[in-house]
Amino acid sequence: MRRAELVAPVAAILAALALSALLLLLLGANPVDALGALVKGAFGDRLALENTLVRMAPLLLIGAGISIAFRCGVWNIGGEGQLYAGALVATWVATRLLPGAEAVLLVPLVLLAGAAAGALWGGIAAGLRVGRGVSEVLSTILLNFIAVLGVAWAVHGPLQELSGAYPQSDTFPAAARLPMLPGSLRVHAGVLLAMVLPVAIWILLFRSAAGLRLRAVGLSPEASRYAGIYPLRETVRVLLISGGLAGLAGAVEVSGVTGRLFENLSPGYGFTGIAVALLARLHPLGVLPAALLFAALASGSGAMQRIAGVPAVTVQVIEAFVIFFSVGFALPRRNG
Amino acid sequence: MLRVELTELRKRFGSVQALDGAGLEIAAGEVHALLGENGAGKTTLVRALYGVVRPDSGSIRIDGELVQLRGPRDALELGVGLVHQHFMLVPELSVAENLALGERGGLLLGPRALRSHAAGILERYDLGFRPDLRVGELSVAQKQRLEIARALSRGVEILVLDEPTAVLVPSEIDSLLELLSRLREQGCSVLFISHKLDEITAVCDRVTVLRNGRNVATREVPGIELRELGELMVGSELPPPGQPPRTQVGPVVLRARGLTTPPLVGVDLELRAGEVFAIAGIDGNGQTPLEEVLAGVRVLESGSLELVQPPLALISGDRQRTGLVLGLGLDENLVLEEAARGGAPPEYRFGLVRPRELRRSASAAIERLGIRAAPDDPVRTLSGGNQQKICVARALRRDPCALIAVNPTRGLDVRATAQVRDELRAQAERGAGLLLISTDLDEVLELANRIAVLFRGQLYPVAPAEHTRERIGELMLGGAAA
Amino acid sequence: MDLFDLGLVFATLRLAAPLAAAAMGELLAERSGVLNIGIEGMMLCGALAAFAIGTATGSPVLASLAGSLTGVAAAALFAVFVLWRRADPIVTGTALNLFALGATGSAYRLLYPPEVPLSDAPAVADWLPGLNPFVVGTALLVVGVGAFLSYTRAGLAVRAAGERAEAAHSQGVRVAAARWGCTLAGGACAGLAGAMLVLWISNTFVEGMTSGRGFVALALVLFGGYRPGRIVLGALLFGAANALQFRLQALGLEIPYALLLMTPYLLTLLVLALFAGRVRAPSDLARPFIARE
Repeated sequence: MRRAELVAPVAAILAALALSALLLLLLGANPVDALGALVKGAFGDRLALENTLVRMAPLLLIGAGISIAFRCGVWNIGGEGQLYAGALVATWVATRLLPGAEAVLLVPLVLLAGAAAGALWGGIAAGLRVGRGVSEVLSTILLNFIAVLGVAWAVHGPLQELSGAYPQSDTFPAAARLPMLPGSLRVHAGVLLAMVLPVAIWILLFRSAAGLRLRAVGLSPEASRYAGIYPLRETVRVLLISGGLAGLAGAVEVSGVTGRLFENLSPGYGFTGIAVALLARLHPLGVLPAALLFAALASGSGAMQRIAGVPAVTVQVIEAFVIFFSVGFALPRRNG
Repeated sequence: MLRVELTELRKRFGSVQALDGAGLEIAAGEVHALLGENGAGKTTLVRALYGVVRPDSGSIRIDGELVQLRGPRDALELGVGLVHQHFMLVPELSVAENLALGERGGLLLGPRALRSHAAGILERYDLGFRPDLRVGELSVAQKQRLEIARALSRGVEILVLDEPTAVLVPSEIDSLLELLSRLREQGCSVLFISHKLDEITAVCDRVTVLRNGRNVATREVPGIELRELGELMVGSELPPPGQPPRTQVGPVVLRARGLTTPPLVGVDLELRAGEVFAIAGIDGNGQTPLEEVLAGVRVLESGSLELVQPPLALISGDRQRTGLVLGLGLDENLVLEEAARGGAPPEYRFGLVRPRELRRSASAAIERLGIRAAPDDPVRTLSGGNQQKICVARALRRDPCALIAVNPTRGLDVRATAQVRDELRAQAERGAGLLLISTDLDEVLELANRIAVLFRGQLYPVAPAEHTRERIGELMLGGAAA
Repeated sequence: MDLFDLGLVFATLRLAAPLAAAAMGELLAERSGVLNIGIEGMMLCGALAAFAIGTATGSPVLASLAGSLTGVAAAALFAVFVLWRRADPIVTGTALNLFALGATGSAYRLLYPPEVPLSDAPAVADWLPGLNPFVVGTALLVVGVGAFLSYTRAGLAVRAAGERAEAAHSQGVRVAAARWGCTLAGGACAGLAGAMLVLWISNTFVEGMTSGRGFVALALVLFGGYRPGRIVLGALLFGAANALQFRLQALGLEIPYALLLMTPYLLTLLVLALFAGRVRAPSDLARPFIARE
């Protein structure tokens, strides 16, 4: 990222902060106290910090996926559904298909299953786009609802814990859980993975011939066609990739954090991931600080509610402000 | 009495000075012709008169009054109507709806009112189609008639027609010209953009010739000669600076048989190694479809295209839209074609870029063609000349056996033009076949060993003895079809 | 209780009307050339406003009005970015949806802290069985939008702005004004649809209570091929399928609840798969228009 490219996101954050402060004033809270509580809740102590890092993982994965999709001009709004699809299938593998397998085998399998399920979920949208001319915007949004309800159905039905007491899956066997990083209580290996994958996506997008094709299609479908690229083929590819990353985020969430599947597993990671990607100006490496910011907002919001009496959902408004301002300061432009 | 006076109009689009002090006077009851090469500024001039383009400086007077046009609304109010080359009708709406569009009147517009309003206009202007027909279903000539009728029905007395005959067949042209003389009799003023002398002599009173955004001359039409007009239009002061390449002409590298896709009709052509074969002609006679066919992005109705000797490379005629991805850097634009369809340019290994190699290639291209840019500068930020050189550099990367260049020097300054032409000439001397599709007659005459003229979708070969500015200028204006 | 009776018809109307109203809002915007992905958020804002004003004043009329006006305000926010800043409508619409979810959530919790007992929103009662003022209102809205588009001079200008903005402009149509007007009017329809959810269907406000109805409305516009009559038909089909689904549930059929809830979305997806490719959207939909060079 060049320095000039940093101006817009910083300006977006500052503008959003200013508006948020105004909002907090309207809510009758002291903005300094509220934001102070928020920062404290996100970074104040070790537990808070670990909590923030854990929340960052899905945002990193989804944000990187959205970046690559939007760069290709594919509006994948379905990160949330792809996350749920990934969590669902990962849970099935961990609790039903192979609960007795060894950890060396099971953890990768669980993650792969999640990624595959997310890719499939994105692939449905791709198929509808290529085969039936359905805009991916609407199909991915609808697939969100379907996946969320699919999980609800599964935890009331086929994947419900054998005791049948609550609408949730059985706990993952220890061999299906992502190991914690040495010396930490909550930070699992998935966080590390989630920090590495945006780098891989960056390499794919900016260092590979395949990535060159994706970006060219997003910037100018016309010139790409003249150069011999098939834009629809690239559309399918990015939906599989970004869906796969979101599915992986779901698998990481159940295997690393919750240890089981239940309704409302995600506090809207799929949508916050869009904000992350936009703030990062669709740059996979920019996703790292952007995801940290949004993870901090989320994990600090509880403290803000407790200490300053500001509803935690206010954070969503701040998020939306950030998107609005990122959009207002113009994204990478297309030809013409 | 002068109805329209345009004086000293200037308008700049980015780096292009479209109008550079152009002007025009139209008298009452006059049919005035406007002539000029592509890019001479004709369309910009008439769009300024219609309020669609705001000139940077200069004045517009209508009926002696100095006016500021904020948009087509104002122009229509003053009685100025423009019939665009690409019609300003809404094809999805009906004839009646198009006639009512923009009209002032009551809030409600029921089907009956719509139909009777339309029927009145259709009858008055003798148009024989139903008001509820969708405009998209009309023929081109019918659309044109409709647009003229719509303008007249709105009290337009100064009618501007932007190349109205380019889209018509001869019999339709005759009846359009008849209509124009009738309008003159009724006291209308008409500004008529045309490239065809017979049309101009048939109906126009005076002709104004534009070149490079300036007017070159205004002449009375009676008694004027085609040769004189052609000279005024293309200019004759500059002798061609270069010579066509002198090479051994080899075997056929590219062969087209009966290419047909509107408006192309049965275009046959053969391109041989070591020659420059130029297709001259005025824009809109099928150049874009031909380019699209050669680029492989347009489906043919019939005919075949055979690449006898690959590889083929194309320098697109629209570098901003189809030639380059403006948001990418020079370096990546350079390798894009080879990276397409899963290919791997030599700067990539295992699908991953070798940054040093890529920079080296880009720097080499920059140095060889004298491009003023850094290897990873987004090409959006570069000047048109530098952008064009990138297109050339990309096309030459794989030493093509067949090279197609469409208007390769459009919008470039003298230096860049000479440089690009030298590169192209060198390709033919190296043994490549160069197909040059150009609307620039100087360029055609400078580079070509063999010339054909594209007119209304058909190719007319030009015998070597006729490789003169006058003869080709004549053919470009329809001399062979007449 | 039978599977089919008059109650099923009433339920169908109740489920269809908000969809139809929201779809009219989307139709207006799209016909003028604006792709409005933010309908869902505009509905949600309208729902909260209707709840707040309804509980405060007890007047369903004022509450509906408040819902519509709030929808207009949300639409104005959207239009500022899309029409003035020429931002991408999809990204902006998505942002608006997130914004609405967050803003209504915070405002709701702020206005109604958990310790204060919550009063119900005033209910809009049926005039006759099945004949609710909202049914009549929606019918009038549909007829009005249809008549506006087909039988008024302004409606013709709107359609031309959506199909060929440049051609419309060249005939003196004010394209920007048409698009602004339709986007704001569309926001009013969406806000009204949100008010219906509160004042007629659930009598309370729940966070995220629109649950995708805005997106269903988007799909209905495609299903109906941009024609008001067919869009209403689609809304009724949806309403009927949903009513039947609730009825099945009430009859205690052994179909998992979540799967039943899934039906509207699956149905929408199916509708899109069957019809989206064949529908011709306005030619200049989602293309920004710049009037002067």
